[in-house]
Amino acid sequence: MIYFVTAFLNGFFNSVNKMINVRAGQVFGTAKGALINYFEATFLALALIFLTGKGAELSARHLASVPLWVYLGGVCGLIAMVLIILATPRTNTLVSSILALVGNLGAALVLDYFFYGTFSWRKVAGICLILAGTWWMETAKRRSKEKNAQCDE
Amino acid sequence: MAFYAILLLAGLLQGVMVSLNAQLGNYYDLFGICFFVHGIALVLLLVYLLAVRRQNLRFGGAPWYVYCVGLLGIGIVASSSWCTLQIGATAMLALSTAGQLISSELIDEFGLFGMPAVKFSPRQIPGYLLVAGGVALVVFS
Repeated sequence: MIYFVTAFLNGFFNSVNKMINVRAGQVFGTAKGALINYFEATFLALALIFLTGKGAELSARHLASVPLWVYLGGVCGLIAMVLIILATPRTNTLVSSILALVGNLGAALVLDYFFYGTFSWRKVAGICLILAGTWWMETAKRRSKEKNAQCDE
Repeated sequence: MAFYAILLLAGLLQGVMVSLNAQLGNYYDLFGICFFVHGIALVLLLVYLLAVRRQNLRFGGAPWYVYCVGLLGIGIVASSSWCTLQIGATAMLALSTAGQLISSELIDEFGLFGMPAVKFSPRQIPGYLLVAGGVALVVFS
C-alpha cells in the first residue's frame, strides 16, 4: 500500500516540479533553468550519501563493478527534455500530452516484461482506459478555457 | 507529423529512464541513484551551456521556490526508483499519472504558479472515472 501511495504522491509533486521548472525556464532560459535542478539535486544527493553512511558506494572498486548501461537513465531523461522543448510549441497540446503518455506507459510495459517477466492484457486495457480518460479530461478542459476566453471578450 | 513522432520518442525515453533508474537501485542506495541520475545530466548540460552556447552562469532574480527545485527533483527520482523496484514501472507510472492529473487540476483551479485559473468542469468527471478504472486495472492485474 505504501508503494501505491508514494507512486501517487510522486505524480502529484511531478506536476508541481514541472511548473517550477517552467518558471525557472521563463527567468533563466530553458537550459539554465534545468541546470539549477540538476546542480542542486546532484550536490544535495552527494551530501545525503555521506550523511547516511553510504560513502563506500562511491569507491572506485564499487563503481567499476556496475555495468555502464544502468547509468543511461539520466541521459535518456535529458534527451527527452530537449525533444519535449523542441516539439511541444509546434504541436497540439492535447495530442502531445497523450503521445507522451503512450510513450511513457508503452515503454514501461515493455521494460517490465524485460526486467521482471511480467505482462498482462489487463494492463494494456488499463493503459487504454487511462489514455481515453486523459483525452476526455483534456478535451473538457479545453472547452472550459475556450468558454472562459469568450466570456472575457 | 515529425514533431508528433519526436514527442512519442520523448515519452518512450522517459519510460526507459524510469526503468533504468530503478535498475541503478540494484547497485546503489536511493541517494546514490539520485546522485548519478542528476550528476550525469548536470555534466552534459554544463558542457552544452559553457562550450556550445557560451553562456554565463548567473542565477539571480527568480522567485524563492525556483531555488528549491533540486529538493523536489531528488524526492521524485528517489520515490519513482523505490516504487518501480517494488511494483514495476507500469504500475508506478499509472499511479503517478493519476497524481499528476489531480495536482494539475488543483494548479488550474486556483491559478497557482502564475497560471491562468481554469475552474473544474463536471464534464471532466467521466474522464476521471476512466483514469481511475484504468489505474485499478494496471495496479491489480
